[in-house]
Amino acid sequence: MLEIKDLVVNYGSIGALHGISLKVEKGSIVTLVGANGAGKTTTLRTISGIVPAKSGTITFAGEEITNLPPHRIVGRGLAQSPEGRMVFSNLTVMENLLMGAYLRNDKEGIAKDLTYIFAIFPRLKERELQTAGTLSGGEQQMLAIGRALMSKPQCLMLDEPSLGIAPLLVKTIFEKIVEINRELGLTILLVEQNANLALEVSHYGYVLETGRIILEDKSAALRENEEVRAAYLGG
Amino acid sequence: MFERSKILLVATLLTFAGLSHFAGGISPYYFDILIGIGINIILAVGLNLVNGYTGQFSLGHAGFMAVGAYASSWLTLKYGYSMGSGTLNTTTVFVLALLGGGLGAALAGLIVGVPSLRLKGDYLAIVTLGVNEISKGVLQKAEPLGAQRGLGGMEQHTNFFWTFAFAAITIYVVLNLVGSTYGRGFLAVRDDEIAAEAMGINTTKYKVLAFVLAAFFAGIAGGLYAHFKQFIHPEGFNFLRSVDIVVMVILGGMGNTAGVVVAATLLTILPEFLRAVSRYEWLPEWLRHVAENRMILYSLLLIVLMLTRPQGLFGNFTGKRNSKLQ
Repeated sequence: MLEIKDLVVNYGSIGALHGISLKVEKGSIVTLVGANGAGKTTTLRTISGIVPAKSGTITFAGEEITNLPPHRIVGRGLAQSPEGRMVFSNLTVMENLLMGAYLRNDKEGIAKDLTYIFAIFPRLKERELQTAGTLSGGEQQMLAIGRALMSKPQCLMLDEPSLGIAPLLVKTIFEKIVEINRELGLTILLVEQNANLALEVSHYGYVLETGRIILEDKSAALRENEEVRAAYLGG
Repeated sequence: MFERSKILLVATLLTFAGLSHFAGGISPYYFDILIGIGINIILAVGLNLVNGYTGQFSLGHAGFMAVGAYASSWLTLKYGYSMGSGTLNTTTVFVLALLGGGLGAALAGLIVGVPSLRLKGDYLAIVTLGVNEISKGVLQKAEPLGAQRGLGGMEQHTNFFWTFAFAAITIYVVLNLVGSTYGRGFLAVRDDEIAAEAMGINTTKYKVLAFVLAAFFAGIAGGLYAHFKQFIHPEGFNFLRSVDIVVMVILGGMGNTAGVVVAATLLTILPEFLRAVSRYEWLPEWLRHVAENRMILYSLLLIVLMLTRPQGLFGNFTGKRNSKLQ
């Protein structure tokens, strides 16, 4: 569904990604784990066209999308829930969700997806008319995921959904991610610092270190890998 | 909601048309202030679309006002009087010239906006400030437009009705735009540009659109100004004029149209009020001096405001607004 080949990204003269390749199969949850500054967010932002790629290719659903403008990429069914939640804090919860459906015209489909999102995140329904800036961190994360779902994507990219959220809510959110993947058959690319959790919910994983992929395997196998255990899973 | 606002607009226009009949009776001094209020409302509400709702920082609004003022004056001077007795009456020519001025300013806005709106924050302010100065500089040298002598000879077509009709239309367009599904894109760009892009919003397009629309309204305001004062001079559209408009937007609360309207009104009246105060002989000498130096008072006002109410007098839009899908 989504394939990256030899992707190189530089910020000015500083290299952020030194030729990474990865593959996300349709219907699976694939995770990209790694420490701070490994290039996880850069990878996602390059895929969604916010950061330009220097070389390499990104193919989505059989077509190359490298360096297309972001709004075109979303239009092709690749949605992103950005890092640090980034909800529109002055808009209401409802308006945020509708912003996610910005490129859609099918009123019925939008209403249906809205119902689905409120069903998986009842908290959002309760807060429907509140401005997003007044939500808790966890609620904002739910909103960011819901908003990304509103574009009816074929593939959803989640950037650090656990960042800055109460541990109890992190668990809920990851359960929801699995639920969305199972119920909608939605392909998910999950970027996460919390490797333990990410490898638990995903099918396949890549380990990124300073702009290079150093390991890849089935998530269950990565969890058993000595190296990964020592570096990311706390022994 | 859309229908109601349309009815409201028509009602407002009719009221102004009615009021306009009585406007002849008031003293020219108060009339001058009233027209000034209307023009400032158009300028500030338009700029609010850029600086308030879209979260950019344009500091050269007077430049677009100048384009509109000169373009419309040129049009009426060239066509207004020869056609006055012919097929088109002078009012029609005047309104067409106003729209021409607005379109000219919008075009200028497009030319400036497309390259510069890729810049963010302070850089945009610097570019727009530069454009303001350049347009002034060009006008100072443009011989057919009077250069340093200024341009005069326009008839006074601007009246109570046209001024406030355009003010009402400006408010109507801005409010309806930001209240629409499409217009929420402006707010999204302001709240978080990266998230907006990730939603599939073409942020550059929105920024340019806000900029061009604001320039259009500034052009209309310029045309109204030119056909009221009947004389325009490049210095009348300098940096200080731009700052005046920005202050109205900030004082009113960025992204709060009602607040900006009130602020534009207050800041048009305030200098006149202070001028009056400085002439009251029974007031202590020092107080009259303070009143005389309005710029000092303005600065103090802004500093106090920023310290106590950084969201502007009338606050940000944190209140609940209607959501469309109810």
